[in-house]
Amino acid sequence: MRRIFWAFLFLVLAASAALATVMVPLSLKELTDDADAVVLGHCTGRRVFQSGGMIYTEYTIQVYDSLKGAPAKEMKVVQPGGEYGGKGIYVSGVARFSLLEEVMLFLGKDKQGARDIVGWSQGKFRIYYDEQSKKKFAAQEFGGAGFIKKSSGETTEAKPEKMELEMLKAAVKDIVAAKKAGRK
Amino acid sequence: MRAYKIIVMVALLLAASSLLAFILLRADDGAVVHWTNLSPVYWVNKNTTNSTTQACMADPVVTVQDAFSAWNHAAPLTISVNYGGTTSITDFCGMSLDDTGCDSTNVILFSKQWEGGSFPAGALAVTVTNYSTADGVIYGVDMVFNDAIKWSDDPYNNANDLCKGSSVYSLAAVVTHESGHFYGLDHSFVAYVGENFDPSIAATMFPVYFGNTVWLDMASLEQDDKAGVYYLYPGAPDPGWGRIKGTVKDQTGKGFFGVHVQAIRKSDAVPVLGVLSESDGSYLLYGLTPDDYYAYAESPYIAGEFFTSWISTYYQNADSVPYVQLYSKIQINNYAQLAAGSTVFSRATPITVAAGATVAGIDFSYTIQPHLSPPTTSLGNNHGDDGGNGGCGCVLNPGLPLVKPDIDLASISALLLLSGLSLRSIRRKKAAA
Repeated sequence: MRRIFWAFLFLVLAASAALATVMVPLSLKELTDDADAVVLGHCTGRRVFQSGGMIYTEYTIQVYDSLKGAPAKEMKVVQPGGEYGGKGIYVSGVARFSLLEEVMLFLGKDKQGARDIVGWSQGKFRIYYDEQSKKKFAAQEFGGAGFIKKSSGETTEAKPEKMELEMLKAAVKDIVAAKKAGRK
Repeated sequence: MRAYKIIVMVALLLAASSLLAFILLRADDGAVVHWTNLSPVYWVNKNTTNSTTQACMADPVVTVQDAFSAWNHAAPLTISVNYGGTTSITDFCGMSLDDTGCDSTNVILFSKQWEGGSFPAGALAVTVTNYSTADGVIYGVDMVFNDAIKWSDDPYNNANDLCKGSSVYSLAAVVTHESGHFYGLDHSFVAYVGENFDPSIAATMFPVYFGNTVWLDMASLEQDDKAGVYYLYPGAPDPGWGRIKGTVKDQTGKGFFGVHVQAIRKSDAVPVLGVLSESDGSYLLYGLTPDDYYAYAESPYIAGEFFTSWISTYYQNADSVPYVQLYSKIQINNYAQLAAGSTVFSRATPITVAAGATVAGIDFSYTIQPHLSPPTTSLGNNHGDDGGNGGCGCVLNPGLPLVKPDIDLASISALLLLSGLSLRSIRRKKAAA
């Protein structure tokens, strides 16, 4: 059963491994391993600011579950780009958030109170409730260009997939536990 | 229950101006991001530290020039993006935290650096567009290719094994897509024939790199790309393309925004053009070569699949559209029905588009399904990444006053509190009466 689960997960992730801007797909293991924190929460605020010539958008995430890293009730997430002082900067590949949007995030290390997202939009999973199945699902955000490839590197169908949230959480927890246990 | 209604009302208020548009980049207030300098110049720093790229690319400058040339000649345009020469500039907008590269010099280069650190995980290339929020006028675009990536002139049929394979990528394919953003185009949605993904007909601005077997297809422009750039910079002579326009509305007459409407050629059922409906539900399929077409409006919900913001920052706004509708009033429950040879087309109404003509009144009407998700409220400032800006759905209504507060929980709470107090006050007055 466990083997079937992982095979399913691999297929789901492989098939949906498209991503923002022009990017190389990161596997769930890569996302998890690269992340300093993996959290679930809601986006509750946004602030745009300028640093040097670049504009940044900082989002506030109210965290309700933490799968990796030190638990925190709130986290700040920063992405480049935004509009400030009459100037707009549009950066390909970054993640964006809707107000009160529920998400799972793979976050980098805290730098001066805020974190980047691993792989930008690749590291953001939108969580939504499916009325028909009465279950929560997670869908990776692929705002930009991405790659849909078979293991051989050739073309396959680019069809977005959805994943049960509990299944995704379990997979991330397994990866974290395996890393802690020193397994590859 | 009242609290729920208030929350919904507040959410709708905040989302009221959230909308999408054509396949154009837009500022937060809906202004089209575009050039007014119709002879912008780009400079190329072709220096790469990647030994594979050095061995597998004859001259990156030529590849970049070819990409811009393809766009410049996609249609009669008023704009011509010109090569200025090589440069030794290594700074670009995004390179360091104290950016000095966010200027009007358009640089195309290779770099391993982003914000003083390494390139974003998994990113092959990033395009950064600087524009004025007052009118959407572009004053600078930088395009940076990850120098840790192996780039090749031909990653599929190269005689040199080093220059092909799944870990080597086509610079031509990627730079052609990124160049579309340089002109001001956002991502297109034309890529599916029925339910099947077809790289050969996919727009260059479709946001997926399909693999090395079809890199040439990816580097060539489709009619959807040509129509988009012509829409932005229409020149003479008029290419004589036609248009289809109409609306997507619910049973009460309220317009749906963010619904993808496509034209597919009658002769072979190949999708040719796609647009997104505006805030009032109107749409305009612009740039059709004279021919017979079918038109259909898409839903992110079909056959249990969830298409939402995967493909567009705007698409999630159309979550209430319950099924694909083929003009006129034909419900499609499976994309396979939209493939060539399907019997469903015998019930559809073909649309004949003549040169330079507009066919109006191609309207779609839906009955809202209450179990489907309401539109997502946006925080604003959410524009496509790499042209798609990752999934927030928040280009505001063009022409409407910009409402761009820094929304936070406190302001929502205040709104809810005020709403609650008002309701309580009304109830008390009624009780007193």
